[in-house]
Amino acid sequence: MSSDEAYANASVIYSNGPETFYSNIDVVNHSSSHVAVHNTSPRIVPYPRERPERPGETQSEYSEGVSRRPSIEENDDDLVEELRPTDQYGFYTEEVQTIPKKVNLDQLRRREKKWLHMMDNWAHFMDDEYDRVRDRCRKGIPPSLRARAWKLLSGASFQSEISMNRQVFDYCVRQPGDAKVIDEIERDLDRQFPQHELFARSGKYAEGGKEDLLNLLKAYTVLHPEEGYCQGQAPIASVLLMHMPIRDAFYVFVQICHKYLNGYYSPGLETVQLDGDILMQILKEKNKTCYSHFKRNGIDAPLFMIEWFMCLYCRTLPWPTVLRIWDMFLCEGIKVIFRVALVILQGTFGTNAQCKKYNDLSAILTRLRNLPSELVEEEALMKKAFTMVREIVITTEEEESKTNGVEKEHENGESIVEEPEEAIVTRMINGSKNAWNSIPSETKWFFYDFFLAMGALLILFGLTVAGRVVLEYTHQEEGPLCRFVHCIDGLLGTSLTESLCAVQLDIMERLVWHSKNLSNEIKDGIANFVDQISDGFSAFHTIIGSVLTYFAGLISDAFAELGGNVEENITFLKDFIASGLEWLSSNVSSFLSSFQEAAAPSN
Amino acid sequence: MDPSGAGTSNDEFKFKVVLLGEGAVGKSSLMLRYVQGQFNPRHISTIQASFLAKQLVVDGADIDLSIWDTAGQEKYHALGPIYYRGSHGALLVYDVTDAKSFDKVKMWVKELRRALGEDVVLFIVGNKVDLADSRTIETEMASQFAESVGATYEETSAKENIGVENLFELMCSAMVTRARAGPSNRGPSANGGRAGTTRRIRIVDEPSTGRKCC
Repeated sequence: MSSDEAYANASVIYSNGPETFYSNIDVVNHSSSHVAVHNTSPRIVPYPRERPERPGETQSEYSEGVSRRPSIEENDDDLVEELRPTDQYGFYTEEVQTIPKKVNLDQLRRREKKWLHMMDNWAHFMDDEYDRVRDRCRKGIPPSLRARAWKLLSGASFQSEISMNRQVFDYCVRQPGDAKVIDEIERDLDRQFPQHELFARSGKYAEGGKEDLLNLLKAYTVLHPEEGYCQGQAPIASVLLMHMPIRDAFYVFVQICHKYLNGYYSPGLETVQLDGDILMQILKEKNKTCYSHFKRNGIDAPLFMIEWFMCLYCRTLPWPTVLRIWDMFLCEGIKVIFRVALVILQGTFGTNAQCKKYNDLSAILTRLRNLPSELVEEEALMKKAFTMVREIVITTEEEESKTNGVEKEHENGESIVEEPEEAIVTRMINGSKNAWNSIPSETKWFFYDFFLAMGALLILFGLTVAGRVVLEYTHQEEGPLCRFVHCIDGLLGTSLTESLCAVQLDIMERLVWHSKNLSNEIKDGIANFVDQISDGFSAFHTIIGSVLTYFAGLISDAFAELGGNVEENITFLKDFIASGLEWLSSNVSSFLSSFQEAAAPSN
Repeated sequence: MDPSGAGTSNDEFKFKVVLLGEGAVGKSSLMLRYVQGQFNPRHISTIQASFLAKQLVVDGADIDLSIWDTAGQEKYHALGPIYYRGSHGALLVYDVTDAKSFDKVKMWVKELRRALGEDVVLFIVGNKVDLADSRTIETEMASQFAESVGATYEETSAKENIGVENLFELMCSAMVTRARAGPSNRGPSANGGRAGTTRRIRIVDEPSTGRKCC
């Protein structure tokens, strides 16, 4: 067969269409493969370029009778939904889509390139240049690469592609699952992001979106029947499904449940409650004003943080902010969630003026559910999360045991007063315990009350720092006498800062309790004080008299040899403090020396 | 520290009411219907307990009512005490089309009686009565149960706005009656007004155990 013939064949074939081409090409190849090599004119591979050339264009002569016109009459609601405009994230918007805020395209493209390079060399970057990965996550992952990046960051890529767990999804999703659990999940399907087109009740993706959600959550409960389903999981799974197909979403979800929020969804919800306590402890360190305000008003962490932590803010913050938080969270872990919480709390209740404005439980919680928009705006919040909250120190045991807890960061070279003082105190405590045991209990109580009153007095006189030290240490667990030592430490200026807000509810509680044993005038004074003080410190100067009366009464009642006459004047009380301190220095010196003795050998 | 003077002017009360019950029975919807007059068929599932406040006048008393909505799922039961602590009343909601949700009410009754004592005003609420066709729990049975545990039974539909207003007014009325009847053992709450209910006074050292360092 000559080459001419082959060429002629080909052109015939082309004009006949691709099917004939593929059925004949074998023949041609078999019979003339050696010829074709030498053939100078290139053989034309068919690729029909007929309409519709672009997706969406119709070709009526073929599609007639195949394409189905949606019936407006029967699906009226659906159609309305379908036509509703959405924003760039897929949430229905009421107004016509405005042009999204200006995107710096050059910057975005640069970032995309960096990310592509990084993802192609993922192992290297994670092992040797993790800081760079982290910093890029903090800047935000380019939207086009977010899904892939999340998979890599969470380890889901490995799990779903390489690990032996890659079969798990296929297995789990085929299992029927526990009927009771399925029922629980089904109750929630209509209640996730109803404003998102993927999960709206109806509309173009609705059924598919919900079916995926059901399957994903079901597959997880098949994997962990002991945990079952938790309502907090559905929003997380939904966010993932908005970004990636179900199989990928499943593996990221599993990683989040296993590694990032381990124990959050297990029965009893202990871990999330524990994290609530930790949050309060950190808040105490970082923003005493806010902490005291919360304590005074009976605000515990579970009243506001459960949804923040369990749903990773996806129901709390504006969507762009949520995505940025997730970018960082999947890279750095739970500490990001803590940081954001601190920024929010600091931004809403960080100053006395804010606390005064929202001054009871209901006002506070309402405020936390209606966060100011300038605070939660993407860039502002991100910036704060990584500047203001620079160094977070965790101190309690539970916190130390958390693997990916908040880390200490000394990036500003700012050192934190800590260990040495701590060591001294511990030594003192040990020494004082023995001394303490030998004191009669009446005297013990004495110290306790006396120190409380002292602390309050110091604050009243403006010695806020010292007063707070006294109060704080008086409330510590080790017993009044060693508290005294701590107080001395504090008076010498070893630690602490901050504001007048430190007069705590505890003090008031004690006032009330003591008031039972006191005269009526003093009781009135206290009642007045408690009322006034809860209204805020503006009335402070008008009530100082009655407060001082109370303290004088309390102390003189209890400590007759010290008190002398109780007079309602400040001069006396100044003398009183002076004499109190004098007394302390003379009477307590014996105790002091005894625990100094006890303490000395250990050092 | 006497209860604020009855008779002359309006008494003032500050009440806390908590909504409890199985998931998806309509707790949030009841609250939203009552406080905001709205019904949203696309309400999201409740994960964070939240609350709304409303002022009203019942039986010549000014009432400052804070209504707490909680998460219904079994898992969140562990957090229950944090939210119902210090409540004057509780609405135990179930879905009249769902027998399981009624069992949950029974469980809540037990728990609340144990935790809050006889002082708490209990209402058992059958919600979704608009779905009469698929109803599984009959009025008779529910009200008998309510009576047997010293609770009041009411039926509502947050969707069709049936009985919601009435429910909360009855509740307030019952709480007012109880508050006036005698000083509650929770001290401040009987005092009405600003004494508030959510503020816990915890005496650091318990006087009864003698003076002993904490």
